[in-house]
Amino acid sequence: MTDLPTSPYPALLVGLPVMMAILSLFFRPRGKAFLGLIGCLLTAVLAIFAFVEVTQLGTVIHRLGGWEPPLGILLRMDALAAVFIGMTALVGALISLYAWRYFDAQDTSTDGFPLFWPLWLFLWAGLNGLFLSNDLFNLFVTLEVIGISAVALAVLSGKAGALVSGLRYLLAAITGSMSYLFGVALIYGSTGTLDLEMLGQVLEAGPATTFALLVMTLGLMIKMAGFPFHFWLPPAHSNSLAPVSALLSALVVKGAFYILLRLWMEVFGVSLTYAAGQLIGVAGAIAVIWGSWQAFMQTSLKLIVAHSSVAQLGYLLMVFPLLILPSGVSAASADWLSPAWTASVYQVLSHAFAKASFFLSAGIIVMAVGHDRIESLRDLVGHMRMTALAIGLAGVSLIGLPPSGGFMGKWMLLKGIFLSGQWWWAPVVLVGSLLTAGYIFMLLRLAFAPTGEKEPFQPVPKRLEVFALLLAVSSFLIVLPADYLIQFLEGSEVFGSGIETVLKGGAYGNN
Amino acid sequence: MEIYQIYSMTSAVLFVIGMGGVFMSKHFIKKIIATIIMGGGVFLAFVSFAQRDALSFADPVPHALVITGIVVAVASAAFALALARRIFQLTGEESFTNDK
Amino acid sequence: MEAVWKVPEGGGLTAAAEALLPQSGVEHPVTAVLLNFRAYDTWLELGVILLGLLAIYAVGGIKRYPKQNEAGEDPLLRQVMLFFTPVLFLFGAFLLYFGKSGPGGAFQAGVLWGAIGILLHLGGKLVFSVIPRSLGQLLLTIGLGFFLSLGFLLLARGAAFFEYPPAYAGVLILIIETLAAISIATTLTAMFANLNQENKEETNESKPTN
Repeated sequence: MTDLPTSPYPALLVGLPVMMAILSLFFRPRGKAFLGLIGCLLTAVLAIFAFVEVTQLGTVIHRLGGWEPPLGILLRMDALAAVFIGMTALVGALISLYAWRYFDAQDTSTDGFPLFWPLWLFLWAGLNGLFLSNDLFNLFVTLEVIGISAVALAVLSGKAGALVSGLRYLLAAITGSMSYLFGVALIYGSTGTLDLEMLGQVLEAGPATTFALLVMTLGLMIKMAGFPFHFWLPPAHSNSLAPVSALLSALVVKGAFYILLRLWMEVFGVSLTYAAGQLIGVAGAIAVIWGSWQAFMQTSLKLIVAHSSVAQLGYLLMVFPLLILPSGVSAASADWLSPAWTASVYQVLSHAFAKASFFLSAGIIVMAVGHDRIESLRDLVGHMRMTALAIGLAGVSLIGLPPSGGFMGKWMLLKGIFLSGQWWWAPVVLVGSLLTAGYIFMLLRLAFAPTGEKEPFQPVPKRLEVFALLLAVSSFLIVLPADYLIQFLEGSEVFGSGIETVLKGGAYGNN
Repeated sequence: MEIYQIYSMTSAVLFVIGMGGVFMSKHFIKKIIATIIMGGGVFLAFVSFAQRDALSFADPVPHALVITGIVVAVASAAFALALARRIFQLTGEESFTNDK
Repeated sequence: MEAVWKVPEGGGLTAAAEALLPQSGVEHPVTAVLLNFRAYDTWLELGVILLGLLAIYAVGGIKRYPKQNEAGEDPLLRQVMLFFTPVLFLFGAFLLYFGKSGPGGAFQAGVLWGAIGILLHLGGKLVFSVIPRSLGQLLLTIGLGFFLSLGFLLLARGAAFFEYPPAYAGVLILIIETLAAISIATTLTAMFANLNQENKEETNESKPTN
């Protein structure tokens, strides 16, 4: 741990966006937007540099204040963190460029919009901090930075509907973080450390640990809108401005998932049982079916896309039962671990790109037609080819048809399911894909349908369409470096490891 | 039974009360207060362990965490209140109408 | 319930903090943890307060601050204001300096100074309509900004983020605390000012509680 190379990048990745956010506060709206965009691009470039450094040096760390844990805080950038940071950089940069043009095209009467930039920079800093953090309490602080800035972005339009769904989102977020923090208190009380790596070694099974695991998982499930705590997500995501919806669905929910993954894999190994994995898998499975079905039933474009997020997050939860090994099986002999990990990473990546593209396209359509009822898609192909193509490509990735990133995620998930012998998850994946295909093809059918008696399309800046399309194309391009990416991730400690269940004898595995 | 256990039990009770309040009440302000009560429970838990683990002084780390946590909770509570107020100004609603 | 009842004794970090306290530049362990050992958390937390204010701005519905509100005519409020403003200021300053060796520090001082702002506001002296816009922005961000600039400066010198040179640690922590207290006070005042405008009932919740 101490012999890992140190690097200034982790600190810069958090510090730079905050610096630009502070600077932008001093300027009038135009300057705010300009500085904000510069800040976003700089942060993205920095993230790419950091990513390259991790590919060269392996895991890098940064001892904040020069103190060693457990007293000090350590930032750690390993392969998994690097992939998430890189994803945030690419998706974030494209959404920022879109937002720059998008706010230009809006009427400037509302002066709340320039606040988008500092808030989004704070959000970015929070996300980077979360992916890098190696400390339970610091994770709570970054979760709060993300939570407050995400809700503030969601209510930026100032409309009553957005405010109500924003308040619901905020209350869910606070409840989630407090629940998580209660777990942190119990863990600190029983071990005297907050450092993830140390906790993985010293944590002992017992009622306190199990209870901590329970409340922390509960809190994070609320934050990532896992079933049955998904109620806040569809209204919050569908009521916000297009670039904000894209950020919220592509990046923000992934933060809580990332912590959940890290906690389960690195910290709570001693308390996890086969049943716990099955339980969270069932929650995921219900989310897949329910979310897809709800999306299928909606009549407004943004609500379809928002409900589809619930389903796509469900796939992520379905990875957990595969990562928990039945007793007596070692990680080396479990050949389904690698596919399961690949599935989770690709599901995260493809959903980020595809969903961002989908929401940005929805924003373009709202701008062109004035509303987002699905009839607005009529004759889209005739008027806005690029947006139609973006919706088509993003949709294909969400369904999971080859050769998209979504296909990679779902295929690997199925492979993991069959190799592990937990065949009962397979029908869920298939039914989910069928339902997804149902609503995507319904949208595409409308896009090709001739215009009825509907409003004409207003002209929309071409550049907006380009950025949405770029994101959709990226959700396919991520398949190209798959071999390399998996190899890179396999170098990290987490990737490819499973949790050995301790349910051998007594209730808590006491020998 | 030791002193700190009274505090940690109380913290768990407060946490559960707050959690129940968040999920069961519909009124904006009641929900916000419920989250604050949850927070109070959590901070009490931290401090109770600090008292237990005292040597020549009480464990300083939980105290620092609690200060940080309280400030964070104040910021989010202020934001939630601002939202609730603005909703009331715009629509006259003071509680969630449809689902939970 | 048993889970909370029987939390195993982890021992905490008291011993570790005690051992490193002499190197931290301050004498009080909580201040040492807040401003030195876990300075990163404290810095992010200053960010969260500022973010809370930005979020309140994002909610919208904010008009320009009126120069004077009707509460200014209340004689009782006026007397309370005149009496408590200097007291709160001195007490805050004392707590700020005392944080070095005892319970106190930036947050306690910031909250007391924030109370001055709120009191002035209630008494009809609206702080944000008096000071220029840019000064207000500076006061709001100086704590977070200075802390961060210091971190960058230390990074540029080859040290870690927030790794103070031991000889200057005490002075630097005092400067950070002072600026942080100013920012916290300004932010709390601004939050209150926003929550308190137009209808004047029911807004006491935003009063700081730590």
